[in-house]
Amino acid sequence: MSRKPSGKGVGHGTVAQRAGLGDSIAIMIQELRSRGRIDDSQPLLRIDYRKEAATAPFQFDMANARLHRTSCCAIPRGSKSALYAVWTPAPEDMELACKRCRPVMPVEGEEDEMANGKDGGREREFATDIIFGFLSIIDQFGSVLTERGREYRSSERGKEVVKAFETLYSELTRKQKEALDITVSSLDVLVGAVRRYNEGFGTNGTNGRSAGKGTGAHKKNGNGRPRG
Amino acid sequence: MAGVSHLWEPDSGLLRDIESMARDYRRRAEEHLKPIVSSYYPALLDGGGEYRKMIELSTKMTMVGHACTEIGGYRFDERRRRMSALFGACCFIGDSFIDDFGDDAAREYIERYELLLTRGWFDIRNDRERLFFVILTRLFGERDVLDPMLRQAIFSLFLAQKRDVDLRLDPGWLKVLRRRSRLDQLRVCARDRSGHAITVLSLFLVPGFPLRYHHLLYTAGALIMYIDDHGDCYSDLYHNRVTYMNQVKNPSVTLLRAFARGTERLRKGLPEGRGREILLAFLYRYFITRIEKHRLERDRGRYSWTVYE
Repeated sequence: MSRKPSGKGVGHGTVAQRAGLGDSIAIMIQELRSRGRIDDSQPLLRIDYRKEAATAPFQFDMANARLHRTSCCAIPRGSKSALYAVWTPAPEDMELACKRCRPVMPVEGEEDEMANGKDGGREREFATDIIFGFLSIIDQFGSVLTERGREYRSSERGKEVVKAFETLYSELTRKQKEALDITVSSLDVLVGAVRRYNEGFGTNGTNGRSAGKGTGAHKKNGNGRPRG
Repeated sequence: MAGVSHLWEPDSGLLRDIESMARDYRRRAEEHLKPIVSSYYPALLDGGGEYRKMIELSTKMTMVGHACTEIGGYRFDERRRRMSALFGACCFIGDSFIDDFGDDAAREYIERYELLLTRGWFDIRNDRERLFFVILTRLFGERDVLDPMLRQAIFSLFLAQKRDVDLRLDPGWLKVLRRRSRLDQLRVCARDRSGHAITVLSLFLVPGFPLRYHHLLYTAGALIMYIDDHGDCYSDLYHNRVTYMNQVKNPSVTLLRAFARGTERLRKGLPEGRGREILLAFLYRYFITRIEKHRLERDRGRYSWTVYE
């Protein structure tokens, strides 16, 4: 990091300290990307919702206070930039329904389907999304995580944490230990799978990604140099 | 200004409340923002009136945020005050990249901000950018920014900003339009910039803000933009910034009509209560002070850099 917070003001109190720590992490992630240490071919965070919005059943015109079906031809041209996709309107919102396309409240059951996409799968996919989110972080930040993990394991703080974990583990009941073991081994399998996947792709060179993530080599533009 | 005497106006008690609220929120905005500025971009504190202008915008956002929160049925607590101040600072610094460093910087900001919103990446090259990024990160950290409405509001605000910059930097296509179409484009652009901004603010403060009140806040946002542009009329003309308010034939009358129509809509549509009163009183105060600013700036000349409350 080129510049850390001086701590003046920010360092006082728990909320401020947490915020200061959050700032440092956020800045560090961006700096690691600038130095070519993070795979920026994948997005870190996508706010842009246009793709999803286009598939919503309703659109709300903020400028004229009208709720339309997405396909309604009565949406004024001047309102295109003021439309918000709506998945499940509230019953009170129907007062603002367009008289031309007459959007109707989804009936029970259909409501979930609309909120969750055509196959009603969004809710069911929630857990899967979490796992994929976790995997994507390992994938994207793999080299940084490995390096930090190695450093942390051999640091005094890391050793203290290991001791604390050992004490905590010894105090668990048999059932709790079994549950924890299953969780840890599942994570192990997932991490292993991500690594094998990356190595496989790296050797084939199909997407230009290096097998040597652990070395910190950057793949995006092939030279590992920071951008911009 | 002709016609002002016939407008609805808040009673003197409410106006006094608004004044004292503004003083309180100015102090609080500074309490939230000064430590961040000191840590990441201390030069801003010595940069003439710029820091004060940022505090003023944050104060206004806090006032509007208070109104939105109460309209949404919640208490305007410390956390919400902090979020409002952060949002004001974020808008101020974001706008500075567009307004204060030339055309290339404005174009570049739009490209880089688009990358931030579409992929999450942002190259931090100097202290101003670091401050902007930290403030944005803190604001985004306050809520689930992947909530569909909030995401749409944030991205729509960006698209409105982009269109505004396009209009400013490439006014050629605007000139070939008929006068009425040209004014329509400018009016919609102003409406969307502030309309989406107030939507972002309200969704940060009240996730799940009722859809049936959103369009009224959008109206309030558009009104704020017209009032603001009228106040900045001479400065905008000096910098060759074309706005709806500096292109209409009779801006005072246009603004007066928009104000009367907009506040009437808000009075009828918003739920009765403190939130509605604060919003209306704030709009009235802003309207009166910006008409005065317009008059003063005409007399002061083009180089004025006065900080207005």
